[in-house]
Amino acid sequence: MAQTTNQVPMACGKLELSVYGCVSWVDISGEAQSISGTEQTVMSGEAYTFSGDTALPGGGKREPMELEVVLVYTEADAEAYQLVRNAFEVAGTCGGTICLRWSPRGGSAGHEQLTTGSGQLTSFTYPAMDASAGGPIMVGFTVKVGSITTTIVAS
Amino acid sequence: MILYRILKPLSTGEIPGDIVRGTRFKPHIAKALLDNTAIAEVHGPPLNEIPGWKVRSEKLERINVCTAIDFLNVDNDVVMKLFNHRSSTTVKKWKAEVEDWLVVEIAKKRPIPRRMGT
Repeated sequence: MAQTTNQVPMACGKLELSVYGCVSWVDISGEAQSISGTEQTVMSGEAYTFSGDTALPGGGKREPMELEVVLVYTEADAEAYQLVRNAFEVAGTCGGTICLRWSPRGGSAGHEQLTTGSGQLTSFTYPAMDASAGGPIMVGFTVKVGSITTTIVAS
Repeated sequence: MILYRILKPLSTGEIPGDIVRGTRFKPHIAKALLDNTAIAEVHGPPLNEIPGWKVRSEKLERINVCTAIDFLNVDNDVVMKLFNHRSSTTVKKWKAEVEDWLVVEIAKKRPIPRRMGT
């Protein structure tokens, strides 16, 4: 079998978020550094009987994922940190909801795009400070989602 | 006119099995989707392969309408004249029948069919 030439670089993707009901999207590739936590698992269990020598495995529902996004801290209203903070702090909704979508190859037509359903913001990192550090302040958030849908960018 | 069959779910909402008109995508988008096998051009079968269309297809051959795609693209007035119809109702019905025949089962099972999107 010949070695693939279709590998995709890790660092050239596009990440967008929606705090508007997964309808209108904001490209946060200019502030986002990474997204992780993309592994989804299925509930499973097993049982044993007196007669058998091995387990009887069973499967259940897909479990939710906790996607972690790391951002550069900025103070511009239209950029990711402030958008997510506003969604996180919104009162009376038991926490804000958010949707994410990203395209590992960059989001041009023909590229794959992964889109979450409406997710629950479960954590948000406010800016920290460190007098001994030289880099920019990094912040982030975690969103719990039930599923991810893969489509092909067609616009 | 070109028709495309959707092969992979698209960000614009179409799902595998949908048939859309070529005008649905800008040329560079269509090319990218074709290159990624997300869509494929529909090559319609000869009209005489559609159940009950043998006689009708023989008549349509006189105006060089031989395939399902030819028929969907032909002007309604030309077909009306050929069959001596006064309105386009029947021609539209025939076109809907052909279009329906081209749509695969997966699209028909959707709660809200999305066919021939423009």
